Amino acid sequence: MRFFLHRSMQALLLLFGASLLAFLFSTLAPGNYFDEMRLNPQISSGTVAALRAQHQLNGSLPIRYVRWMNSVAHGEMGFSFAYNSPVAPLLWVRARNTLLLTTTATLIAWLLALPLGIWSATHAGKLPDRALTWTTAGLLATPDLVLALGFLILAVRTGWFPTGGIVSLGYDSLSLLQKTRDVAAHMILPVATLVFSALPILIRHIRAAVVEQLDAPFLRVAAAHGLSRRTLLYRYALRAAANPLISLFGFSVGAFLSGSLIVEVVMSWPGLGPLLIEAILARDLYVVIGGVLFSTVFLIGGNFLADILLYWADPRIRSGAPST
Amino acid sequence: MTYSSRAADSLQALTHITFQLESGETLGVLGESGSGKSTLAAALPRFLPVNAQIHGEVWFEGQELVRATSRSLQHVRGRRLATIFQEPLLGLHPTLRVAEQVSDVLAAHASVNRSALPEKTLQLLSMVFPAESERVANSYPHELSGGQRQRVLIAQAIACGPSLIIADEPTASLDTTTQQEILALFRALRQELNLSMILITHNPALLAGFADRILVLYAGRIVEIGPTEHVLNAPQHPYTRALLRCASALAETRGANRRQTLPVVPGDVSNIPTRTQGCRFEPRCPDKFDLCTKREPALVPTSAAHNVSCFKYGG
Amino acid sequence: MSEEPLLRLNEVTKRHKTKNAAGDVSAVSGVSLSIAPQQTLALVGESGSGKSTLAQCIACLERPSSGEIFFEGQNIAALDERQLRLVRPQIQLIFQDPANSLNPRWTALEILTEPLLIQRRCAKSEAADRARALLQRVAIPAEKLGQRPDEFSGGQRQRLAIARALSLGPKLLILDEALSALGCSAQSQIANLLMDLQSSLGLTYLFITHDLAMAAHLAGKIAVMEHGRIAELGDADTVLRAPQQEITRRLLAAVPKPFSASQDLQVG
Repeated sequence: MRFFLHRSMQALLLLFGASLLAFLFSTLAPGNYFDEMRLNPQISSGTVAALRAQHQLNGSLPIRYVRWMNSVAHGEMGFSFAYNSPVAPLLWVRARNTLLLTTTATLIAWLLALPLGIWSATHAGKLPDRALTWTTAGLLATPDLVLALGFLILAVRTGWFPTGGIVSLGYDSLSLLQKTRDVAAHMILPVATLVFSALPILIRHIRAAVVEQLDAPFLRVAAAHGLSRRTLLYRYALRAAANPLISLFGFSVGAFLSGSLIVEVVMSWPGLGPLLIEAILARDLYVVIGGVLFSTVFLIGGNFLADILLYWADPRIRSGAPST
Repeated sequence: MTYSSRAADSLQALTHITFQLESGETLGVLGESGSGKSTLAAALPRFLPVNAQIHGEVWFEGQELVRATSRSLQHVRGRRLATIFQEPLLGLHPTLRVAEQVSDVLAAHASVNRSALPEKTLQLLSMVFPAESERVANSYPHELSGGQRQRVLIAQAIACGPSLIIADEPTASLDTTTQQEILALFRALRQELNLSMILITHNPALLAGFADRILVLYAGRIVEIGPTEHVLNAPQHPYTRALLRCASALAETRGANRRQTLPVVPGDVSNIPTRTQGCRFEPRCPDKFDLCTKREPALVPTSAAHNVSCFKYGG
Repeated sequence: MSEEPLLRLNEVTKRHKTKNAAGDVSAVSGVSLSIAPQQTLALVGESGSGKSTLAQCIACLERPSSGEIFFEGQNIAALDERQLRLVRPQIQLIFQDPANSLNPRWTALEILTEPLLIQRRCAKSEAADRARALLQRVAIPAEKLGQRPDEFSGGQRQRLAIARALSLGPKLLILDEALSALGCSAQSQIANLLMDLQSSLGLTYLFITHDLAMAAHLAGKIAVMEHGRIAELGDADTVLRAPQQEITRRLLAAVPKPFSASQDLQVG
């Protein structure tokens, strides 16, 4: 219980720190939304100044931060200049889409990587393992962008997959089942990209963790007692490998999030990615800060989950003993 | 039940090992590091790495093990032939409770049905932990001391009622008081369960009053084998003599030879592998003569049931 | 003894914060003892009695929670890191498992020259010669200089560790269960070596062990430790012939009796 509280405190502090940094960097970056307007000769500088005052861009840094925090507390998270609306509702929609994408990708990637990694470990050194290693090396060397574009080209040329977006035209008129199928169809390519780019890392780490446990003394002893190969692999080796793998899971959450940014932009998936990029280019301050913050929440949440899982899975952590 | 083997592997870790073990007998294998004793412990249940080869035969309860399939080996291991390895600190799974690990062994050989497992596990643990079996059953390995972990390993070994236990340096990393406790436990279990044992150690003092026969291993070969009292009180091979002199000197606590030079077996084991001809012990032997560099001595009997491999006695 | 002891401990205590139940990490409480120069004190106790923790404190690898450790009259427990650097070469620690204290990837030459170079005791060119001399001191053949620890036997590895410890010219050598993992012959060889080094180099030893027999061979004084405290302390002869405490009696009883004596031994 103390552990849980401790980690929660850590998470909250991290969030607070991240918000501070995001705010700081964004506001200190040169330029602001209204610079664009100033270049437009049709808008007088008086109007620009008035608009700036209206959006309270003229206060000192700490005051603006406090005002922004206040806005967060009211559930608005600031005001978007471009969209002319509070930031929060914008973000929620986009965040939901990103979450959908990354959660699905994480699940599928791990569901594929685990058996492949274990299989590779049990055949370590032999031909199937080496073939897999070469394949993953190739995938590892391929940048996400290339994968994404490659899939897009595939979609355009063959027409098998939708080429972007989250829904087709006429979505609103579909039944619930058809709606689900429509979204799923649109998800295939972006998820595939994310999965393929993450798979090599996961497989290699899983393989390494399992191989290490297969060599461990306690496994030899268990084999001496005549335990079956299945028991040895799943109940003994895999469980002992859980420690590094759970930490890997926490890390993979972060990796998926950052990977999804590019994939969403390339595949026109309406998630946080495109919104963030738009906002950064337009200097839409509060959207940027809000977007960064949402991503941070996902990241911290994922790692928090991993910490809790680790605590539950490894009794050595529970009692504070060294776990190497 | 007889048990004999003759084994050699690709690095020549063991050569021409032949011996027999009777049912209920305890054989002590005496050897220092580099003698091949751990290879012997691993070779009998065929736990050698893939690149090792065994030549010869190992007969256990009427079954030949060197050419057995892995399926039949799995039936033998743990159920009829149990092995206790050297590192109790690392021999247990780190995140499973003790009770679960012991139950796993019971379950693996289907000797008990599932509902009776917890009870049987507790019963087994109370054989090795007379006092605190329940607490230990619920503990994780890292919460137990070295001696306690060794007891758990012993419980796993006897779980399915094997007829032979091979123990490779079971007390090596434990302190002296715990060593004695573990030996006493072995004695009690041996009696109760009518076990045969092969106890491998570098410490002859452990075998006194415990083993029925002693087999002395040097550089992968048997140099001497015979009844315990004979070997310990009247050792014949020069290596055995020197080793026992060392060991008994170390055991003196009240003698006058404190702070004096202790007897040693001169030289080091690592010089050995390069030699292919002649007696392996020759470079360090105080009694050597010409013949010793020419060929290896064979194992010859010097008295009933006592064999020595040294030219001093023929061969 | 009117000589100033080389090492004197005064009410040394070390507390560990741990949630562990089985007591494999134990504290040290109120330990006081002293060792005269060129003498050997054996610290005997079961595992968990706190001997290793105490050794770490004396070797300046840990700081005691309270108490003083006087080395040549100076309280090393109160020194800062910079001052400690001057003291460290004089107190060397040898561990039980040479496999863990010797870098398996380095050759014997590298292992021996590392301390010399770090402490800037000699030029690089001289270092190899010094290493060779050290190996000779511990009776390891010179051709082993280019080999790695896994090519050494157990006894040789431990002697290599001793050679490394000697390279900085220490006054006090702490041997933490240094012989416990070795076979009889190797133990005897190293014991002989230690006695030889003590007379030729004037070394002082703190010999930590759970084996009272070995302690009896090497030590002039014996201290018995239990649960972090010194249970009994005195001359080796006195402690062995007339043990006062239960723990000492128990340790004494656990020593295997000389087995050439009789056949009906009851060991343990």
